[in-house]
Parts: sequence; structure tokens; C-alpha cells
Amino acid sequence: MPRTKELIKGCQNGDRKSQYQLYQQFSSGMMAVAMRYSKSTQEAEDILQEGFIKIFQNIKKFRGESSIGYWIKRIIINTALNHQRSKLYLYPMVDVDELKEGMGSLSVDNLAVEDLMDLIQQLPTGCQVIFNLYAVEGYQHKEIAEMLDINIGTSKSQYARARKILMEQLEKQSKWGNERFQ
Amino acid sequence: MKDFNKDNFNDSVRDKFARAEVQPGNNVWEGIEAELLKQDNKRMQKKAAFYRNVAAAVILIALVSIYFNLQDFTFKTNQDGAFTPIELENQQVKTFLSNNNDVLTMPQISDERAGKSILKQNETVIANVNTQGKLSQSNNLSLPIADRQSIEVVTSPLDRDNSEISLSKLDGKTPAEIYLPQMQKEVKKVSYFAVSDLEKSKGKSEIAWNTNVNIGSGSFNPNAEITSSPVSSSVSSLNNPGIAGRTNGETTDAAYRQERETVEDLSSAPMRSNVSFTIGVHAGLVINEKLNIKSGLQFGNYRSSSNSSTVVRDKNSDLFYPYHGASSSTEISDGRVINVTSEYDFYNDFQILSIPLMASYKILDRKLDIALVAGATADFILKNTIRGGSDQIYDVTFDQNDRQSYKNIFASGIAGIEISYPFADRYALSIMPTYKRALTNVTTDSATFNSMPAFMGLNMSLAYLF
Repeated sequence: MPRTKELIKGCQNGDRKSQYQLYQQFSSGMMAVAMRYSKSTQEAEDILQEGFIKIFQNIKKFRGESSIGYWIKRIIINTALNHQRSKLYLYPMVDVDELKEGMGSLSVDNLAVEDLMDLIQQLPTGCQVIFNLYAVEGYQHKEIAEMLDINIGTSKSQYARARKILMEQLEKQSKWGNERFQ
Repeated sequence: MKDFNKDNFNDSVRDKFARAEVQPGNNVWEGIEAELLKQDNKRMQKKAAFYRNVAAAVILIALVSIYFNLQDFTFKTNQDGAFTPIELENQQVKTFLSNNNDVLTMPQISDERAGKSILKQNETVIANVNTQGKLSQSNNLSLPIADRQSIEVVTSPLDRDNSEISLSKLDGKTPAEIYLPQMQKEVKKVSYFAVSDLEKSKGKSEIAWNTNVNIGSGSFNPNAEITSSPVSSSVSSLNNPGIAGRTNGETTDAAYRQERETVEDLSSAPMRSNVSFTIGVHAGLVINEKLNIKSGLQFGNYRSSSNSSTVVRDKNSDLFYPYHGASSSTEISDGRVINVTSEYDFYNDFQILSIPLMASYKILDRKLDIALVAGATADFILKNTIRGGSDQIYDVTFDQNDRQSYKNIFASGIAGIEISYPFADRYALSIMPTYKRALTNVTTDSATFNSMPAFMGLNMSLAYLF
């Protein structure tokens, strides 16, 4: 297996074999990222495909200032955001403080990653994107607001809404689980 | 109020997804590859268009140059009295008197002006310019002359004897009818480029050597008319040959018939010409001024492409190799079967060494020389590489020892027009649009198709005359 540097060099020269190997190396991880931002596997594959085409088109611009994995992930996330951008403003803003009231602690420790993925995919699009960016990627609300061209308040309220929905879903699952074992 | 940042929920989620992996479907890479291929093709087309435009520009420039080179500007003696007026500003005017007091004014043009400026107006050089100059002056003098009985035109003292003209014979004629005696001077045809003495040294009849190196490019087509597939294909999937793959002849299911027909059409899709490249060295004999015979070595990397939707699958190694109706049927052997795949681009590259024998006959010998070239070449196929435009399809390379569809040696005819520009005593640059075509079928008996490769190209060469 060639080293990543050699793969990048090959991709920069348009070598199809290197492109395929780079794809193989990162496609599974990036598919998981795309899944978090989409509603279905089909949509995630579209994002992955479009993202990798952009990656191969622009890999000549990669200067190695960050890791290739981070660079690829940024492109996949941006592609996903472009996919979802038109749907982001469909949901009304809610008061963050109102949402925060009465929320208990959330625990996902006992949840399989696939189940958590399902729950995230069921979130409304706006909530889903902002939850991913804030909770998983670690962006600040200010950065998210700039990325999506929205208010910081909108970012915060959508995140809070996502947490509320997730909590409700987790509680439902917990109740359902308890009832099954009683 | 709860502070979201103080619980560890986000960290838990982040940890869950840190190493999460989901295997995407095979169709994702196929889609990526198809798009990349499309872009590669576009890029190739742009490159090809660039080379075509350059070639067109070179040919256009050459044709324009030839056109102007063929435009001869001949100085005609003044037969009809309509001589082009001469700019006489700032010239001295002398007055001459005849014996009956008629005044005859005559512009006195300096020797330099009369000799050079006047006569150059038609881009020609004429001997004995002084006389011509004065003739033109005289003719411009169509003045109302009442009595010409004893008019004497006084000319420059430099050549008075030559220039004295008696006008006694002009009596009774109108000015338009007044002609001067026609000068029996030689008028030379000189080309547009000939602004100075460009007389070429001619008359070399002895045999001389010349040599040249050339470089060329053009489009090559090994076979434009493949119309039927040599074998019936079976159905498979490129990405999953083990499950869906069937060997040739194992299935006769009607459900596959339509697909098979489609595939056979695709696998026998006509070849397209790609940009090819040639380089060579020639030496020649200059038999005489017009005839030149040359021979040498010419190496060419000739490229073509097509589409295919069939591959040869090695059942032992499960590797794919490209397959096309016009590629090579002999590669199918025990353990190798033809499978149907998704459509992919197919490249057929030849490396051919040629030994030409050409004769050129010069039809125009000017500043730019033009010669018709014709001859024959012996062509040796050094290597034939067949590539599929996918990483999953391995290249197939034939050399002279392998079984292949194409003969190792064949003969071609070649014709072209060579346009040369001699830029020094012994050097010349030339371009030569050429057309080369195999004289016979170049495939072996085991091949199921015929092929007569054709190459249309543009050679540029630098020649040195010993």
C-alpha cells in the first residue's frame, strides 16, 4: 500500500489508480460523515460522490498545511451543507431559554452508533446540520452562523431544539426498552 | 437553567462518531470514475482542439504565404499612354524652348529619383533606369504643342545620346496618340517578396546530399469500419464478476439477448482518432533542381480510442483485461472469458517504426518552395498496448512475439505537400501535411476484422543541405 503522500502525489498527477486507493482509504469514514448530514443512504452516497469528485478536481490545491483526512472531511461537510442549504430555513426559530427549561441529562453511552445515526437522521434538517456542526465537528455557534449565513441565535436555538428532540427520542426508546423487559 | 456546555453529551457523541465507518455502495466509485473520465475526455478534446487550431493556423499562414508568393507584379511598358502619375513635388522644373517659342516645361527629376523611385513603384527592377525615367517624363509631357517640327527634347547631359528624341514624327497626332518608341528592355518577373535582388542560384544539376529531422503530429485511425463483433458476449458485472459472470456460450437466456446485442454494438464501436506523435530522421539525394529522393527512420506513437462494454476475465486470477471488437480476439484462451461490463473508454496505442522511401518534386521554386511528395513506407509494429479507462481493467501489451490481431510488418503509401522556407544557404524549415494509409489489410488471419490504418498529420522539419 503506497504511503499517503505518494497517493496524494499520484492524485495530483491524475493517476486513476492513486485516486481509487485514496477513495478506498477514506470512503468509509466519509460515508459516515455524509450519513450524519443526510436523510438516507442514497442521499449520503450522492454527497460522497459529489464530494470526492471535488476532492480529485481540487487536490492540486492541497498544500499539506493540514492532514489530508481533515481536508477531505471539510470538503465532504461543505458538499453536505450545499445539499442541505436550501432546506435550512424551513423551520421556525424557537426561544432557546424556553427549550433549555426542564431538560435533563442526555446519555448516549449505551446507544449503538448506528442507532444514534438513525436518531440524527430523523432530526429536522436545520437541527440536524447545526447539531452535527456544533456537537460532533466542534464548531462554535459564531462559526456556524458565518458558515450558514444565519444569526448566532438561530444556530443556538436549532441546536437546543435538536437536543430536545433527541432527548425525547431517547426517553421513548428507554421506555420502550423497559416495557419489553417487564 | 441548564448549560449545555457543561455536560459531556457532545463529547460522547463525538467519541461515538470518531471512528464510525459506513461502507458505501460500489456504484459510488463508478459514478466518480465516470465523471472523472468525462472530465479527462473534455480535457483531451480541448488539447486536441488546441493542436487542431495550431495546425489550422500553420496551414492558413502557409497558404496565405503561398498566395502572395504566387502573385507576380509585372512592370508593363507603357503601351496605352496611361502612365501612372509621378509625384513631382519639390522637383526642379526646367524650361526648354523650341525654335518656334513654344514652351515645353519638363520636370527635372534627379537621377536618383528618376532611376529608383519611379521604377520601384511597381515593385520591379528594370535595367537602364535613366532611359526609362526619361521616357516616363516625356510621356507625361502631353502638352499642347503647336509646332513640333523642330522640337528637341533636351535631356540630362549624362546620357544625352540615348535620350534625344526627335518629335518630328509626331506631327498631326493628338497627345493620346503620342507614343514613344517601345523600348526593348527585358522585364523581369519578380515575386512579392523580391524587394531586392533575390535571384536564386540555380542550375545545380549535380547530385547533392541533404538531411533533415522532423517532428509531427496528427490523427491515427486503425480501423474506422468495424461493424460486427467477432464473438457473442455473456452477461456479467464489472464489479462483481463472481456472482453474475457467465462464460461465453453458457447462457442462451432470451432475457439477456437485448443487452447482449447492445453490448456487441458497443464492443465493436468504431475507433476514434486521437492525437498521435511522430519523430524521424531522413537523408536524401538532390537529383536535380526539382527532384529529391529521401529515406530514413520514422518513429510514431499512434493513438486511437473507442468505447467498450466487454472485458476479458481471467477466471484464475479474476483480473479484467480490455476487450474490443477491433482490439484482438486472439487473447481469449483457456481460462479467459468475455464478460459484459458497464461502458468504459478503450485506448489502442501503437508504436510503429517506419522506413520511408519518398520522392519530392518541386513545383514552385520561390522564396517558399513547394514540392509534391509521394512514396511508400515499410512499417513495423513494435508494440500494441490496449488500455481500458478504469483501474479495474489491466493493460494488455503485445510485442512482436505475442499472438496479436495485427501483423508485425505492413506497407503503406504516403503523399503530402512540402512547403519549405530556405532561411540560410544550407538550411531550410518546412512543413508537410501528409496522408498515410496502409496499402493492404494489416490484421492477421486469426483476427476477425480487417484494418487499413490511416494517418493524417502535419510534419515540421529542419533540413540541412551538404
